[in-house]
Amino acid sequence: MLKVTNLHATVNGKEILKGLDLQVPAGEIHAIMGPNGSGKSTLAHVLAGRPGYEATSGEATLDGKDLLALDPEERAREGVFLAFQYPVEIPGVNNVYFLKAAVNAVRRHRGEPELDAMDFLGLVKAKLKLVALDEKLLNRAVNEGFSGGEKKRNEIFQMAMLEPRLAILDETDSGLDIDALRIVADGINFMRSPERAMVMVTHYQRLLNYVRPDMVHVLSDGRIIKSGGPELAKDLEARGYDWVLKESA
Amino acid sequence: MLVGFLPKSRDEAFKYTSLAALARREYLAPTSRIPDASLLPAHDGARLCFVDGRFVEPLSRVDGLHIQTLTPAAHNRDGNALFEMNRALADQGLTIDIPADVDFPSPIEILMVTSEHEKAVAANTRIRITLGARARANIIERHVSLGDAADFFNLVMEIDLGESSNLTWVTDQRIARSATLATGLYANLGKHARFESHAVHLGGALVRSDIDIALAGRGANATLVGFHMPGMRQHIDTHSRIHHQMPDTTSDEHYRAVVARGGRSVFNGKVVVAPGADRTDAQQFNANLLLSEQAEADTKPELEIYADDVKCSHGATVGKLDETALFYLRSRGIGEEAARSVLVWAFADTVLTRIPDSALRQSIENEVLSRLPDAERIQEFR
Repeated sequence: MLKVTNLHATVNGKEILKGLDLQVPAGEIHAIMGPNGSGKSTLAHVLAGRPGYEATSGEATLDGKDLLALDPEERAREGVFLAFQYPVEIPGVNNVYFLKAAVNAVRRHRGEPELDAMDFLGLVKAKLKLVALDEKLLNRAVNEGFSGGEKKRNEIFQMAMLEPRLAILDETDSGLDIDALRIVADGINFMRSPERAMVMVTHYQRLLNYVRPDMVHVLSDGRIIKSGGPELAKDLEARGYDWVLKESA
Repeated sequence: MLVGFLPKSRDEAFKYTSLAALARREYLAPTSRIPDASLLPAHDGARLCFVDGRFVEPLSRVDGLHIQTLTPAAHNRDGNALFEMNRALADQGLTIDIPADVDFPSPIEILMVTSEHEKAVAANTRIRITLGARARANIIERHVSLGDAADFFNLVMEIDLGESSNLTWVTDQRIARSATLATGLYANLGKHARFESHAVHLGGALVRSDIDIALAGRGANATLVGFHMPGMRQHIDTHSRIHHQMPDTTSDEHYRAVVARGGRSVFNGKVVVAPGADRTDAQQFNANLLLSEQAEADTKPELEIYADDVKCSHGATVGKLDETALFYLRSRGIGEEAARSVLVWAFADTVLTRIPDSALRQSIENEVLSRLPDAERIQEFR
């Protein structure tokens, strides 16, 4: 499903990813861990197509389709979803309308009919329950006046609405208290599906107590230096990153 | 013809706005041709129609309004060069009187039309509006061009608001992209009088709007909201002056500009709190969105406070589209053009949405939308 081969990428002319390889089959959740500055968030943004994050060589394909050749909106329509570490406040843009435009952009691309207001609101109500988000928040501007936890839950809610093929969760656990963390984790587990691949970028093992990954990869200096099962995350929690770095040196 | 009246190059009030080009132009006096009524925008309710600066009764609908078609004498005031020009040259005008306790039911449209003609014309017109105590009225000041000549029009509006009267004003300006417009709105507010203005300037090569508000009675309140959208070779300038002369007066001013390539917006907002005008509350904000490296915005808030116990704030921003917000929208499948337009729209609609008359608001919003790429997609966001 997601296949990344020897990916090199620069941010502001500085090389951050230096030959990264990663494969995430459909139905699996992979965690990307690593020390600060190792390139975790860069990977998330390069896959989503953020301007300024430039892939200089290598490949990234989703179901065989070349992601790197696509604009961010085209990737989204092909099923890529990035849950932002810092969800953006957009004053003046209503949450519901924003979501409806996004859902319909994806549906148009798939050749499906656009949802009418009734069907859309039905879907919204069903998915809101998933993340225990207050319906009133939806009538506000996008993320405006949301607490940190509400913003993260809104990301998971958007993911549930858009039903992506590939979900990339960038530090979705950061800044969450334990209750919010559990809600977010439940949402992610609910979204687990044989049709979907998920990449969880995280600095801490915390989230992985609630969402059991199929694989854990350690990223350091722009490359994956170690991969293993969920027990690897526990080792990292107990022993830190140093031993992995030394082992790979 | 206009040379003697144009501001000197060192005139601080015209620091960002040069009228020098006007001196080099030849203007004709307006003819008295009357355009076909079908060319005018639709309006239900009272209409006072001026063509090339002259009041045209056959195109107007007085609807029970008290009007006089003599040019009112200008008040003595410390006006700028454009006011002085108008004082000297205006030979056309109108007086509108809303007597005490009258709540005038329909919106009164003051329609300023420039006719279609080959050579540019210049006109100076003066309007006086008086609201008696407790009177209420809604006025729409609308500017349209039927042709595309580089006309010059200088309109002075003097407004006197009696005790506890209430006037709502909407300016809908969509003149030809070649024309020059100067408007001066001078309002004097009595005790507890209320003036609310929404000024939207979309047209014109050179537009200068002076707004001068005297809060001359205790508890008077002025709300000034505005929007400029200059594009290529358009220069739109609002200069406002709010004088808090008495205690407990309040003002709230919020202007925004979206400036496209080759356009320039100017905002200068001065608030003066006179000695003794205690418990004044004056809020002012000006935000500018530049859509291109070749777009310019000049903003200058000025506060002069000579009283204690006042609450005054002002803020100004000049910025570009938020690239992070743009990426956020795109990452959800919304196309780049549409995402840009949505963000511009959201910025603009913060002020447009405050226009109280819903039909007029929609008409203005649609005009703004039509200037944005991929406007059709924005409909999904409304």
